[in-house]
Amino acid sequence: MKQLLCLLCCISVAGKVTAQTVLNTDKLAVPQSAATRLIDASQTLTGTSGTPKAFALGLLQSFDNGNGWPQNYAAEITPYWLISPANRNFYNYVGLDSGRFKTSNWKTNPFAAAKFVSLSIAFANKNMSADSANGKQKVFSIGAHVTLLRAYRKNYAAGLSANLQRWIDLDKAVILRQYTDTSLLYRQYRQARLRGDTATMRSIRQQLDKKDQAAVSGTDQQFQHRVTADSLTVAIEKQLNEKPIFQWDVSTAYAAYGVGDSTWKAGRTAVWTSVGLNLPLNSRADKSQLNYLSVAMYMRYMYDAYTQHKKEVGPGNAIDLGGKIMFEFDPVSFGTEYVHRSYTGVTALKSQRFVGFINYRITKALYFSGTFGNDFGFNKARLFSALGINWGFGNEKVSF
Amino acid sequence: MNTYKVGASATTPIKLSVDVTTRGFADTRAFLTDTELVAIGPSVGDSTNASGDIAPTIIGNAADISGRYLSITTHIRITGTDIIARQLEYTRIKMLYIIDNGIDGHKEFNNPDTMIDLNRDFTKIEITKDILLTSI
Repeated sequence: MKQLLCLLCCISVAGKVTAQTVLNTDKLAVPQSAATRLIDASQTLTGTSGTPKAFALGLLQSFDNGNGWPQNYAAEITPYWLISPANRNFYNYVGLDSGRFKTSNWKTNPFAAAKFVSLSIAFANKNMSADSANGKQKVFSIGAHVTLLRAYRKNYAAGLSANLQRWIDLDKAVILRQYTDTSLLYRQYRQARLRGDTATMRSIRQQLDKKDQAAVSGTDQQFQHRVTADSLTVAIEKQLNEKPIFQWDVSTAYAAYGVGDSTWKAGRTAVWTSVGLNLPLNSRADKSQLNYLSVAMYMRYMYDAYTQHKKEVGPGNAIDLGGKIMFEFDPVSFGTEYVHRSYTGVTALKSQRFVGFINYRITKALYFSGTFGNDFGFNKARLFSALGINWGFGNEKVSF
Repeated sequence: MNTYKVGASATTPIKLSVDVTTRGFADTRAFLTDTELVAIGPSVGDSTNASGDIAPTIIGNAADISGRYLSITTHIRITGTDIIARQLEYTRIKMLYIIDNGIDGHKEFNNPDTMIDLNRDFTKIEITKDILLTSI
C-alpha cells in the first residue's frame, strides 16, 4: 500500500511540478474522476468525461458535514499531456482524419479520445458501509478512465475544417503583410526580427494585431458579417468544446479504507461503463452547440468487502444498472439519476439510488452543486441531500 | 542566423520542407527576401492545412536565389481552456526546417530564430526562421 501511495504521489507531484509556474485556483479544473465516483464522492455515479485536463486538483465542500472543513480531495492527470507524442498535429489531436496534406473529405475518428486516458486519486473521510452506523473511515481511492468511442453530429468535421481553412486563408494575409508592408511599424518589426529581439517583436506585433485583423478580415458568406483570424479562432475553440452526440466511456477504480492510524484494507474494486447521448438544443445550425439534453446509461460491477447482510459484514459482489437524464443550459445544469443495485446471490440486498441534482458554474473552476433524493440503503430508503461547492485549489496539503 | 550553400547553378532546383510538431492549429509561409526581410515576389512555400507543414517544394534555382534570405513564419493557435496544458504544449512545440539539393546537400535546422507567445497566455504563437542562402 505504501509503495502504491508513493507511486501515485510521485505521479501527482510530477504533474504539479510541471505545471507549478501557472498553478493557481482559478485555472484548475474540478475533477469528476473514477476515483471519486467509486467512493461516492462525486455528485452522480453516471458520468461522461469532459474536456481532458492536463492536471486537475480539487475538493468538494459539502455544507452538511458539520465540521466546516472540506473532506474530499481529488486529483486527476491525463498522461497524454506529459508524454506529448512526437507525431502529433492538430488533426490527430482533435480526431479529424485526413492524409497529411489532404484538405478535403474530413471525418472524425471515433477512437481519437482513447489517447486521453486519465488517472485519478481521491481522499475522503466518510462512512462507506451500507449499514445505518454513522462511523466514518479514511478512504483512499485510485482510478482510471477512458473514452473508447465518440461520434459527433453529421456536419461537425466539415464545419470545423471549413473554419480552419478560413483561418488559414486570413492568416496567410497577416503573414504576407509582415513581408510586404513598408510602414514604420512593419519595418521596425523586421529589424527586430533580424536582431532576434523578441521583446520588441512582441510589442510591435501587439500594436499591429488590430490593424492586421482589420486589414485582412474576410466576409462570412452565410451571415454577411466580417470575420477575422481571431474571431475564427474563437469559433474553432467553441467547436472543439462541443460535446459528441454519442460517447462510450469505461472506468475502473480501487478503494482502500483506513482502520486506525496504520492499517489499510481493501474496500471496493469496480469496473463500469456508461453510454451517453448528448442532444444539442440550439437551433441555429451555424452556432456551436452549448446547450444539451444528455441521456446516459450506466452499468457497474463492484466488489465490496464491506457489504452488510443482516447483522454481518462481509464481501459482496454488486451489479449497478441505471441511467441519468440531464439538461444543460450553461452555466446551469440539472437532472435526475436512477441506479438499481443488486448483489449476486443475495436478493435481500437490492436497493436503489434515485436522486435529483443541480449545478451552477460560478467560474471556470468553481461550481455550486446540490443533490437530493434517496441513496443506496439496506432495507430502507435513505434520504439523501447534499449541498456543496466544488473548486480547484493549489496549496493546501493533503493529510490522512 | 543560419546559412545554406545553394551553389551557383542555374538549373539546380533547391527544395524546402517544414515540419511543425504541435497539437495547435498552424499556418506557415516561406518567402525569399532581401536583407531587410522584404519579400521578393510571392511566397515560395505554403502550408496547405492546419498542420502548418510545408510539403517538399522547389523554392527556385540556386543561381536565382543565392544571396537572398529564406524567411519562414509560422503562426500557431493553441486551443483549450486549461492554461497548464497550453503551457506544456508551448514548451513542446518543435520545428524542423529542411533544405535540400544545394551544395550543402540535405540540411536540417531545428532551432527557430524567434518564438513569441504573443498574448502571454500560450494561445497565440509566432515562430520565425531566417536562413541566408549563399552561392559558396
